Amino acid sequence: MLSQMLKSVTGLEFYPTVSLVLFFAAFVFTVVKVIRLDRGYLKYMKEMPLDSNDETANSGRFTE
Amino acid sequence: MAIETFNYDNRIVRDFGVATMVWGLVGMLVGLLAALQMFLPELNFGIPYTTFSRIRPIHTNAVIFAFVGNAMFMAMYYSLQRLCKAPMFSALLSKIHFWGWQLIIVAAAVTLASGITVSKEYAELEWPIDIAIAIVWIVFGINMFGTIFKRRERHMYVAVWFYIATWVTITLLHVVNSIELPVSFLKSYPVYAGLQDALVQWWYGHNAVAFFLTTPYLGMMYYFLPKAADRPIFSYRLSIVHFWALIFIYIWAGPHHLLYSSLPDWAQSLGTVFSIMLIAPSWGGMLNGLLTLRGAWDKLRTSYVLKFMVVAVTAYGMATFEGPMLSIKGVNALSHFTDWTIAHVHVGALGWNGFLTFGILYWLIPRIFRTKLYSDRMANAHFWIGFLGIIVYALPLYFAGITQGLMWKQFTPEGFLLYPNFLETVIQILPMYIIRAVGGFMFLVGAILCAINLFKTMKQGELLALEAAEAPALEDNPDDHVGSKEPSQWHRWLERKPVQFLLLTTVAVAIGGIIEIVPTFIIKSNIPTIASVKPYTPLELEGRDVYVAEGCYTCHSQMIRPFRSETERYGEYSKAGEFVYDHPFQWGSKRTGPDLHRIGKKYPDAWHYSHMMEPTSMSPGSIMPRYPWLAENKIDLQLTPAKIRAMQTLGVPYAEGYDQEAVDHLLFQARSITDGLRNSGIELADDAELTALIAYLQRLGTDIKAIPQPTTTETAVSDGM
Repeated sequence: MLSQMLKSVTGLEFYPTVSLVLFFAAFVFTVVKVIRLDRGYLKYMKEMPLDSNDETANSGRFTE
Repeated sequence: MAIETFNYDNRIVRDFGVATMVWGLVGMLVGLLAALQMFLPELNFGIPYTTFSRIRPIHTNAVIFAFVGNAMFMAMYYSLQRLCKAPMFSALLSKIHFWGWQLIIVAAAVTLASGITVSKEYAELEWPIDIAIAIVWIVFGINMFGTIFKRRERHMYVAVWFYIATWVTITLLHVVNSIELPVSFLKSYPVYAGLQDALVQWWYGHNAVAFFLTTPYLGMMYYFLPKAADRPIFSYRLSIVHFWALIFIYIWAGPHHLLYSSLPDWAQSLGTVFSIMLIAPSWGGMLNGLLTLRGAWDKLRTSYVLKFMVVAVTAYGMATFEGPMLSIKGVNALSHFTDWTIAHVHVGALGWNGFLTFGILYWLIPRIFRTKLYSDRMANAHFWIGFLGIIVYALPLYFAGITQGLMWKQFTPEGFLLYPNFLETVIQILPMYIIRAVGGFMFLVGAILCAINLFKTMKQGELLALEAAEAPALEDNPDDHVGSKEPSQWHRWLERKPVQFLLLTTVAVAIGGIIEIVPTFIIKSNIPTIASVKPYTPLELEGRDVYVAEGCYTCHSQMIRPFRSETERYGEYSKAGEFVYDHPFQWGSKRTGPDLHRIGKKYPDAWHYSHMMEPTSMSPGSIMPRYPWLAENKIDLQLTPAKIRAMQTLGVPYAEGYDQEAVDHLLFQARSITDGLRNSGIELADDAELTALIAYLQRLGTDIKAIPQPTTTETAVSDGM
């Protein structure tokens, strides 16, 4: 049925345009939101892998 | 706030780590054997199971799904527990996942070696194994999401997003590309045919690279690189932007594998545009990785882990710049079907996947075994021999690819092909194949050093099977939700909601997926039908199955591009309408030998017989392996009616009840071939696989000759060079 619907549309030339518009809308939205993110939160997130306690059991035993 | 204690499961990490090394060595060894056969075809030892056309899929599947797959699971199981501050959801599911995946790998190796294949690249496995993959993948998904749901850390770190995107998209790709109609327990036909099959396959093939070789590894980079460097990632903002841009764009770029093919022009252009756009998010990831080391580059002097990781990220940057360049039509006209592509993928596979895997293994194994690495010197030696191995592997193949591509297109001043014999262009690059094998050997030696080093490390240490940890319970703190109501905290909100995150990720990949796939389904009506193109005869259909089983597509294309250099060499360029009965399509992606789309009626049957028995007897200097077993093996006539019925189900217009006459027709046609051969002094059984294969080859590309065609010089476009 979906293919029937699409067939009734003349050509598929609008496809690339729609995709580009969609992408840029999503992209700009994300960039704007990301710029406005809170600094404290960003710092918290960045340090998350370093923060976990997976090395407590054996810290100081590595050369790396 | 209540502090909870729990244990991280390191056993499953160890298991996947060991499997990574074992299958890595197997996959690389098979790769080396394939590389050697490129100039010493007799190294197939005269048997089918070790012949290039069968081991090439074993190599690719082993490296992608066994080596990279196990490494991905190892790293995910390690990092997910720690990022979620929770043990895996179910130790039993972890076990089922692990053993299920290993069984699938074994089944894949056995079936591919036996010639049981669907022939769709990186999705060659037959339907029972496809179902097993789906089940194990869902088990893995339940385990992963179960862990995420019971996490003690409200926010999901960027690595976890990449894992989620990986799971969602691979599920989608695997299901859509593997829809097959079973004929018997180990034989099926894809429901798609020809152009449609090609589009679905390369939508899959491209995104398997994206979501099996790239997104999980970016997640791993985001976790393990900061760990190894002991510094946070350069920019969390950048990671958000590049994540969404990457998963949104990647899925669109599949058609760049089909440039200048019978695919409609607009779809090719769409693939090119999105491929070029991909540079931005790809490099966003690379720069985020490399800039993490800003101010700490001196650590590279002492840390072999960081050395591996930096080369990996750099290789990622190089491969993701090269990929878009290769999808520009002018470049692709030269590069496609040549060794350039092989060089390109190995920069990614050896550099990005291989070196990141090694780096993580060197970091991780000593940690969970509570010891130091057995030998730092061995690790450093591994780094250098592996690094040089990548260069010695890739450089000669770039040289070979460009050389051969140019030779194919070279004309004399009089307008004839300068190298009309394809073999001339192969012999020219044989020295490059030898050097490439040396490079592959070096890389393998490095991997062996790694395996020994890790094995010794495991032996000297003791696995911390259950690693005690503690974290405050995740309470539903109403204050925590304030952020979600502020517009600027949108992503912060999203990171707390795995289900919403999963849905949004699915939407992002689905938009590209739908826009690329929907035309695929309506394309059937867009394919100009060619009245003279008829279904294969039963014998030809059986011959086609032999062609598929032997993996002829690994070296021969069936896609003549609309260039004068190709129409001069092979004949009329390929039309979409010629492939409507091809389940699966056999366009191929590499020409180690010439294109075969117009091979039909070009040579007598006796030529084909002699060529398959001893290729050098017909083409002195040929590097094609011998296929003497085809004259001995018999086709299974019991299965022929079922195959005809399957084709009818798929829409191939055989007459009603034709399945009952098929075997008689098959034997009648076979007899005409074997009688002809007997006149040339060759005895071949009517039901030999070779008889069927000859019938198929003689049919290839001949239908179109039944109607008047415009001359090639009028229709061929310029080479784009």
